[in-house]
Amino acid sequence: MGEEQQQTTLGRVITFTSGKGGVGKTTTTANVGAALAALGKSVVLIDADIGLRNLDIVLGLENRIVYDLVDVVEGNCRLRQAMIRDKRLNSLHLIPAAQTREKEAVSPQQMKALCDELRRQFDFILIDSPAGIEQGFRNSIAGADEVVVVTNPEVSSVRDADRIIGLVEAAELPTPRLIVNRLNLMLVRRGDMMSVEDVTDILSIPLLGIVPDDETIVTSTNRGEPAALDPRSRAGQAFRNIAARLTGQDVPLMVMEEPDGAFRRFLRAIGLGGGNQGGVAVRGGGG
Amino acid sequence: MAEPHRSESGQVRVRGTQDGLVIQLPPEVPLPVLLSQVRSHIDSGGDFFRQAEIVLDYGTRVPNVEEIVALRALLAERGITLRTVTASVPAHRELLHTWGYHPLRLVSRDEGGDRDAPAAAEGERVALYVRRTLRSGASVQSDGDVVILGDVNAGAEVYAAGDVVVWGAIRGTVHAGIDGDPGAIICALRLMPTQLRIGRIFARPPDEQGARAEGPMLARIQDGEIVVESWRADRLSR
Repeated sequence: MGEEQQQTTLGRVITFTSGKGGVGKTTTTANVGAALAALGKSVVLIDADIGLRNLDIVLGLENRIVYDLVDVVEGNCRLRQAMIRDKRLNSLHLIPAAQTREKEAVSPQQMKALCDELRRQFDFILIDSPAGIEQGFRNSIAGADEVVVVTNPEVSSVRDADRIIGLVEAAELPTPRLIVNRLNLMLVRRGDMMSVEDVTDILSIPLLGIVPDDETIVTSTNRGEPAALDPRSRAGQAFRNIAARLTGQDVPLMVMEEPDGAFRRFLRAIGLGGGNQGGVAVRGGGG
Repeated sequence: MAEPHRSESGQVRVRGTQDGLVIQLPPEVPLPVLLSQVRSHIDSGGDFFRQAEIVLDYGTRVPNVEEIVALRALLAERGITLRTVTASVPAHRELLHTWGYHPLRLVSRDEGGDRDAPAAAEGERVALYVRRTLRSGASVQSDGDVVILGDVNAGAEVYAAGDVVVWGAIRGTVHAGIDGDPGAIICALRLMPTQLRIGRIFARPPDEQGARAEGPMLARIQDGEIVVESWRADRLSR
């Protein structure tokens, strides 16, 4: 891996967290990472979920693991040796979690030191946080510059996101940004699911993206092929938009309803609606 | 619970507050020592204490009627009026209340109280002002009133001996009048709490998700029940 040149500007360490498990942190981290790499950025993903390793599977890299995060901090290998290069994207790398150890095998200080080192080599360092608010979570935000909170439009997930936001604020990190994952517009219309507005009303943090509930995610995750690299995937488009926003591009939120529907009015109301045809219009069946 | 008037080293201390001069009594010092310390404070204070009205603050010390009588006599000897007796332990405050004292909620001038603010006028009280949203897991407690500029989210809790005013939404649990004050009120721009408690009365919203009333709301006790109604200033008279 000789091609990562020493950069003059430091990379950004972004932690993806949620409090609650199963909301799509790992899928989001993998897809946003893949999309950033596809935009030409150098990216390393760190799986901080020690003991419950997953990120390697979503990327289809599990059979290439030799060393892991714990090996790096314990000095059993050099940093480079634990970095697995993605099989599709040259600029995407993974530092996997150890499967046979526990969260306490790594300290917040060690994570911070690791992030400081990686910041000099990569544009983006994305950390996949474990669920919970204990040491695994503290490790994952120890070296972070920014935090992205992933939530589902569902009461218990939002409650945990709220708790996590409070902890991030208490750690004196900047206000986190929010990804609402698995939004099913049909259910929202029927009044059976919280709307994005309901979620942002409670959490009151800036929205980074909305990812539609998309069954292709299940198959792509099982195959180890990030949906972000599939141009036909609606969720993949949402992840690509999120990646673009992280690089500073002004991409309107995906509009999933008829023009001037309640959703579009809401986006305008919170200043994200852009112009008249700003959004990537994704209706009903996607495409 | 916040303990703003702690007295270290077993010494009687005198401090100025928005409620005037306060003599702060240390815990676990026997009465004769206490009396001699108060006496020497006053005698070395010169004109400072002349015609003064003071408040005795028991802090965490356990109040005792004979002690208060002795201290009152000592103060009277020196021409000083005992305005009231207070304590920081809620149970002690209740005790003092039954003895006819009206425990104050003291804010020390040197602990963030507004230095230039005039002493609180009759009927005015000092509130804890929280300028942020209380997220799940956060807890705020006060032995006075609480004002929050922000939301109280589900999973957060507020406990106040007095009123709770939220310039935002209440989604969590709020308890006003924790020491049993049935006259305490709770108001918010949007009221959709997990649970409301005033004094010793608890209430929760009905289980069926009916049409929620919108707009600023006021909750208070009426006929032994917590009643929630749209905010109107004229309803406040109490």
